[in-house]
Amino acid sequence: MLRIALRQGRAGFIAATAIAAFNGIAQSLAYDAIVGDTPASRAAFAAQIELLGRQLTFLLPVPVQIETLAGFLDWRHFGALPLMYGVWALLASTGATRGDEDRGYVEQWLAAGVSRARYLRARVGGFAILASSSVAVTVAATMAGAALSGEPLPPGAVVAQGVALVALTLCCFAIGLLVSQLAVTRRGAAGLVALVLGILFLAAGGARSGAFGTAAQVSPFWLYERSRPLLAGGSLDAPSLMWLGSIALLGTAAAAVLFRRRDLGASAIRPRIRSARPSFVPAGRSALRAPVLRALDRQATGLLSWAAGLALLAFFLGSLLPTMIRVAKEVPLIQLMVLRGAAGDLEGAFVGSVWGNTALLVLSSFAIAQVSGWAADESEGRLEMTLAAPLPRWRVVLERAVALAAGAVLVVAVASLTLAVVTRWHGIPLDLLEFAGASVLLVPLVVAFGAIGAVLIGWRPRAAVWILGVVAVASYFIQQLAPMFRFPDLVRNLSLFELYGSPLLLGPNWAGLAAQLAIIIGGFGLAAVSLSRRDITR
Amino acid sequence: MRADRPAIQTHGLTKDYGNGRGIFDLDLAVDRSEVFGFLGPNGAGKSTTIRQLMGLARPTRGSAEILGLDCQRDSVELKRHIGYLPGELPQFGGWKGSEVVAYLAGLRGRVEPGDVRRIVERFELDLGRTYRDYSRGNKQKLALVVAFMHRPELLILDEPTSGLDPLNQQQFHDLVRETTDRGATVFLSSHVLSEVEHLCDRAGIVRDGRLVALAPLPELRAAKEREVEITFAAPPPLERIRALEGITVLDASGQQVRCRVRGAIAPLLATISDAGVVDLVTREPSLEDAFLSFYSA
Repeated sequence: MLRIALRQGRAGFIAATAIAAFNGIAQSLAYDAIVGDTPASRAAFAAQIELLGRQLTFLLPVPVQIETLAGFLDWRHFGALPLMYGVWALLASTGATRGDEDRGYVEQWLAAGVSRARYLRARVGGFAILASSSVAVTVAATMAGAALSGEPLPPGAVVAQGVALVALTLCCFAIGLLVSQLAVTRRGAAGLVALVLGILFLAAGGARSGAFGTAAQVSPFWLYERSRPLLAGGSLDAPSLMWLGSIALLGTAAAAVLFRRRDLGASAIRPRIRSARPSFVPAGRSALRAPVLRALDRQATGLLSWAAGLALLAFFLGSLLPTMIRVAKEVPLIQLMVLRGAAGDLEGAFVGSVWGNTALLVLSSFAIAQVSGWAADESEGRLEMTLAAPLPRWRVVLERAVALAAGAVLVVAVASLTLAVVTRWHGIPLDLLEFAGASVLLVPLVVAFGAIGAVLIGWRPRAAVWILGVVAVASYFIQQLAPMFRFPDLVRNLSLFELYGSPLLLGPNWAGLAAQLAIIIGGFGLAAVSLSRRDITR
Repeated sequence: MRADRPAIQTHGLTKDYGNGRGIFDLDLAVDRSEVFGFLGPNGAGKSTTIRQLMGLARPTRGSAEILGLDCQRDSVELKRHIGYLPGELPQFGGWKGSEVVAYLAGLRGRVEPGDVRRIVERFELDLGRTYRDYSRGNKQKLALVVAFMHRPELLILDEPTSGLDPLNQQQFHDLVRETTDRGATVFLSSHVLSEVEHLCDRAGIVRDGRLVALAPLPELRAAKEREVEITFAAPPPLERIRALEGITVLDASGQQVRCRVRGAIAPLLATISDAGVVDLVTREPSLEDAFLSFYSA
């Protein structure tokens, strides 16, 4: 059973370990390349990063001791890894419960005489082994990177940091297991767990900047940050580590109780039994019969969830903006970095910088989710049923594109409206017309992501989501790191987000917009040709 | 569409997946208003053929026509006239049955709600429940509703009674008969010989991707053989049994006789009725054995 659990988790293990280990080596080498050799250059670099880091407190811990590699890695590497390991824990926990149930594996195992307790023990044990191994490889790679850059790290401190990371990952996994018991499908579980972990992650960000008070300190991400053994004078914080362990144990135990009590394939929360008369007629909703609207109707719950999620993020970032702008006004260097030498207003530039990049990342995830749905349409037989109707294949592609654009408009509109209200509430002056224009310009990029995905699912349906995910994450980080590390334009242009530009600061990027339209037309055109020519598979 | 052409016609239709998998050089003609059974073991190429007829898979070579139109070139026009039931049921997750029907009817257009209601009531399918909560049989019923709801001229059904209980199988048989009575053609794949016997005018059998036999059902019925094992209280009337037409005694030891019966079993039963039968066991031959025995005879 444990071997099966290890096997089920190997893809996540390989991906997480590869990214984390690569990040460890790359950050060490990058630091060595840019920090300079003299104490003065190190101090100047540290001052810049520490100021810049204040803008990113919603995402990363507050940077300290950046004049040392250990301090830099504490912030940039071990401060960012919780997000990635949290995502892995989310996918692994929902896969271990709902994913395997959706596929009928759990039913088979239980029918083969495996008890529910043993099944859950194996999945938790398997993930614990994989997570510990992944962190061990990451720790080793980070130490190797540091040694290569000529500034070796104290092994005990790195291992201690690794212990804290394992504790956080297991804690996220346990929360995922517990919350998954309340859902019915893997998709539903993933949404619920993402919401809970997302709130806990943002709460830690809020706690860092003092925006949400001490209530946010129950977040496992906040508890993780109490341990900073890489810093001079820092150590592994035993109480927070114990809290993490306790949450992991309690979460797993509660998940086990709920798993034992509920029916397979059902939520732990039992719906009220309704006695309704049987229905023998098709649904009367005309939206189900209209092109495009039928696609939107099918994903109504998902669309509303995305809109609500992005609105929540907009509210969160909008609440942090006054503090960030106040700091920026006191620090000319930040002004310089945000304004990039342009003569725009600082408030608008700040909103564009903080909101634009984050919204692009979330909206590209929205596009990826749509692409994943298109791939599932084929693998789950819905496309076959669609094409059994007298519908040309190109129309399927066209409807997908238009529905994606319409969904993106809805999500962007709700989130942008939320941000506009929050900024006004906080008295941040914002040109609403320019802001509306910048919001509208987010939509073509979402559709461009979808166009790339549409091509990919015709070629490698299973890899499409992964490839798009890598493109989105790489685009985000290139854009985030480019000003910090002064990346050349060639590297900067590799980010798909660069096509959006900085409309609130520099006005619309017309060339980028033209490129996006070319991607949209070319991508969906190619996808239509590909779908017309290939076999429909399951 | 051309009324003078067969409902389905294939010319050397081939889909080669490599390693001998697929369907090869299929030449087949299904007449209008005919119920045609397409039989064969798992992996023989039945679903591959059906997917090519539906334009979901492209042939490696050869061609297929439905109602006089090319399955690939005229695929969209054709589907106005076809009702399709896939071999592997689609997943509609949390949708209600009523939403699935409305969605697929909307894609197709020109579906009378009265027709839907009539079929749904016939199968006693509650459309108010979510698809996820449906049993295997109920999902199959929903797929049948979708296949029949627009009164198609041709029905292509991949294992249509899979998962249905005997009562609903009977409802399906009645529905097929009513459909052919109004002039429609039915092409169905199946593993169930009794179903094919019950419904089909002709049947073809595929094995390892090749059509190995094609015959009208009366010939198939005549070809059917079964193995019978009889235990007598006294020495068995072997001579009288051997004298019967279509009976081959395979083994006789003590008070037991094992024989193969081709055609009706009634003459054998009449012969042994006064011989003190203690036990009688009949074993249906496999579909392929029964069918192929006709050709090897």
